[in-house]
Amino acid sequence: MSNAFTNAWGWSVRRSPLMMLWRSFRGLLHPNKDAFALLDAATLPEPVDGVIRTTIARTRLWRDERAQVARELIAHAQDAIDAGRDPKQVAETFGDPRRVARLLRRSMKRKRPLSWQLYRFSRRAVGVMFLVLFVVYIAVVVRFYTSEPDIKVDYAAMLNDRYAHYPEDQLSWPVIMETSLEWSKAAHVLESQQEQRIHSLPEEQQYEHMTGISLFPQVPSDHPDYQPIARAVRDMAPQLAQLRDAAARPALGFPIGYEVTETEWNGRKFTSGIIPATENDFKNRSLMEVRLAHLGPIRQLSNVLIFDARLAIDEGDSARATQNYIAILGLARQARSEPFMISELVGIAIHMSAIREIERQVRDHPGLLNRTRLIELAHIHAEAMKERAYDFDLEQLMFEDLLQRVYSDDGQGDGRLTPEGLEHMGLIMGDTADLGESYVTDAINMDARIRAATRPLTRVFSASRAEESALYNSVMETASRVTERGPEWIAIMDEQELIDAKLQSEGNPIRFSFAGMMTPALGSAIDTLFKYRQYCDAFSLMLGIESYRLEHGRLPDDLDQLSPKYVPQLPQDLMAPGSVIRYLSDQESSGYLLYSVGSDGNDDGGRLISDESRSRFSREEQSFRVRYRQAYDRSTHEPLFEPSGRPVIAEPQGPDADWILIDTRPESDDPQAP
Amino acid sequence: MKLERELMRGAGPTAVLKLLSRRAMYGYELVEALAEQSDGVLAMGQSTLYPMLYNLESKGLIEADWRDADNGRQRKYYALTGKGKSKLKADEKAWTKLAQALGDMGVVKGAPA
Repeated sequence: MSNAFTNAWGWSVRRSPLMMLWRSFRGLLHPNKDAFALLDAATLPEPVDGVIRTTIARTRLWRDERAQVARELIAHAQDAIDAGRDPKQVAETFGDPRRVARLLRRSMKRKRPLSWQLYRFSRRAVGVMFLVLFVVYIAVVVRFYTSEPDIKVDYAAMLNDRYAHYPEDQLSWPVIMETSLEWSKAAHVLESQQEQRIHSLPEEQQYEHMTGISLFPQVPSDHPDYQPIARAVRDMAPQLAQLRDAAARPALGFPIGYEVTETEWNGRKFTSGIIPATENDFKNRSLMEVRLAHLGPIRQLSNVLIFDARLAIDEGDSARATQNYIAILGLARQARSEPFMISELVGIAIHMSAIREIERQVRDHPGLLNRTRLIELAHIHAEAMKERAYDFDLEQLMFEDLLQRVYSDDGQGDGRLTPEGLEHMGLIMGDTADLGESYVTDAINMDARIRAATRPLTRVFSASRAEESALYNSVMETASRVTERGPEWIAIMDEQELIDAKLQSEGNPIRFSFAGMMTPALGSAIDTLFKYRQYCDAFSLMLGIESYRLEHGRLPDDLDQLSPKYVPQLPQDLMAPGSVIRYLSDQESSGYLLYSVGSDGNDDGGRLISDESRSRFSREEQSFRVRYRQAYDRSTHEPLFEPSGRPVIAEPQGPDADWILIDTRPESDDPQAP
Repeated sequence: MKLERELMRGAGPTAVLKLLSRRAMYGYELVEALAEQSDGVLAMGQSTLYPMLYNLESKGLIEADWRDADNGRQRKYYALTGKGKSKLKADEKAWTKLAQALGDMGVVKGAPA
């Protein structure tokens, strides 16, 4: 019993993991010890002993394997000697120790346990994988650093051709530029004078007063700077007359160029024009670098026209005020007719500012607009509204232009990212140093050699030129579809989701998409477009109401009285499919309210949202993206679509208020009063 | 006459399996038997034999155990396993067919028809 226990205990100790580890360690230190001990004990003749020792030492086997082989070779040699063989001959027939050791090593390894075989296989597999990866990496590096873009298409020239068929006197740009320069000079003088006035105030009052020019055109008539500004605007009368004519022209016609000309006057430089792009400019400059120098002057001059309209109303000259409004709508139309999306957005903003201003003046001066003026305004407003959808052509041209600068060209419309293209992208994204230290990660500030080694991998992790073009165009096509079909489709307009969904549907493992980076915020722009349409429709309705009031001496009781004589068709409330814009009249105050039910989809009787501090365009009650949120499957979290492809709309959850479109009622102290 | 290495690689294991099919044998005995019974054609030194034996062992065709010899020392005896017997049968058939085909072509004189 005691012996059995001792034996079992001994067996356990000998085979314990600790002892096995010790034996492995010992084997590493003295691998030949056991084999050589056997040879010592065998006392073989010198030549045989020597050749076996050399062979055993060269096998590089485990310690116990060497002992096994030695034991067998010793037995073999002893048998040969016992059989009468000469030891010298035995040693000679043994063969080359190096070759024998190699053969023994290979065959003994085949006898090793399965776990070791698996380990050896996985080690070799990893080795082969790294080798393959290295070869692929070298191929990618070579292809990356030998590729370059081929800039062939001059998109700037294509754009400049858009005005080729217009005579010069049909383009407004030269007048706009000249008038803007004149007003900039006048504003510069006013600014200097008004800043001096502020500085002359006691120090504690300086920050309580703003200059009139900084408030322009919303300068209160009792502001100390009002009169000097009014004089300056009146002095602009000849230029403004020219501007009104120019605003009626069919097109803007500003040239595509990368540099502006400047005029120095009174110690300051003023933009005075654009240098048209030359034949070879496009090789070095992308369409994104084109100077949209028309946007500032158009906005600036529309403000001057608004201010001048107020002066005209004060002077009892409603004809001049109306001409100014018509000119602003003309400028808005010209800005919108430019194919740049930013230009369209500026055109929308200018059109909206005119609507706001006319709404305000109609409220403060009922009967301001006679029938002729109303017809003129309705006509020009309808003209400006003709372009009801965005034109995405230039956005697509811009993207194609970028692709030809960033990607190589295989002649079939495809290509890959190039080193030059990556540099170009860096310029587009801006220098990371400009973002400030806290935004610059270590990864971006990596060693130049590591950066050079890793940059080619962008070729692997990015889409091809054709794929990027298809991705971008698919987003643009979706955007066009949404603008054509109406706000109920806006739920599908999430640019990044569209790109991600397309990449996923194609099983594409791409992590980096140039199209994803360069796609403008279309969802937001389309939301703005629908808001603009709704405001324009309400403004048409307002002009109809004003016409009715002129003819009948009172406001209509309901909108049905307007159609079809004053308004051909009552405009729809885009927040409530199937119903028209709401109308509330107050015969006593001669004011009225035009409103939409807002993003909650409920008619709250024209109730405003309580928070007045937010601007109209950022309000949730006006957001079509809030109103037409897509419904999702609760179990799969997948967006739901009707069989026609139309998104299923979730229950509206907008704020409990209406969206006020036009309000000519006298200003109330209670902003929530209907 | 000695066989070329490629021929030996094919014929050697079959010859070893055949010898072991009769009885268990130790290394030196196998070397002697191969040389003697093949008129030196299949003679191989220990540098070829032992790696070959280890390979056959790793494939499970033979098994080995140390036994006491008459002279008081120990020898490692190799014996055929069940798997080894099956392999030998298959090899014998293959070699017979090969010899037959070579005989038909006149490469091997006096091969069984």
